[in-house]
Amino acid sequence: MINSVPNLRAERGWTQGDLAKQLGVSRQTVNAIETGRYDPSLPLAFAIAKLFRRRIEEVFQP
Amino acid sequence: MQSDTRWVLVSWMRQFGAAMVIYLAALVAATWALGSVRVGPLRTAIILVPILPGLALIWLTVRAYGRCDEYIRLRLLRAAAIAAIAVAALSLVYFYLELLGFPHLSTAWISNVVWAVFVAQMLRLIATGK
Repeated sequence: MINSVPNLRAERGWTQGDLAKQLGVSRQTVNAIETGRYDPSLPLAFAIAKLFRRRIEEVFQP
Repeated sequence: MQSDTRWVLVSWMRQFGAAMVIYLAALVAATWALGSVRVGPLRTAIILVPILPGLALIWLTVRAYGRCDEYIRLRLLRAAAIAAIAVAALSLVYFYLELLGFPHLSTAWISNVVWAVFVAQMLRLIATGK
């Protein structure tokens, strides 16, 4: 699964640590999602989309 | 989900290290007691003492699992799976080596291999984030 998390995060000037803090996960988790090493659970994917004010399919694509 | 997962892992590693030192000290004492202490309640107690820090290693790890976020939990489970597979492979190979005359090993080595493989993966995750 590909995702636009790095771009959306960069648009807001956030670090991976900033995003991790807002999502309540570790920086390693954000890094793993951004680099495609980990596909987040549905609750976390929805939380990411909600944080970026996007629909989930706009953030994550198969 | 917690944002301080790295701290949880580092904390786990410190506590795990302390418990492992206690376990090894108790193991040395138990080994000494086997050959040096007369059969009786004291000898039995000394030999059984390593069980407590041994169980503490497991408890600390289960507790850390509960405090981590979903990705780190996945990594912990993967580390545990790889450790189990390593033990399965080593025990299979060594079984046949024993048939050829290699010395018989105590089952205690299984625990040592599991923790060594598991901890090595956790150290890598803490150090590199990968």
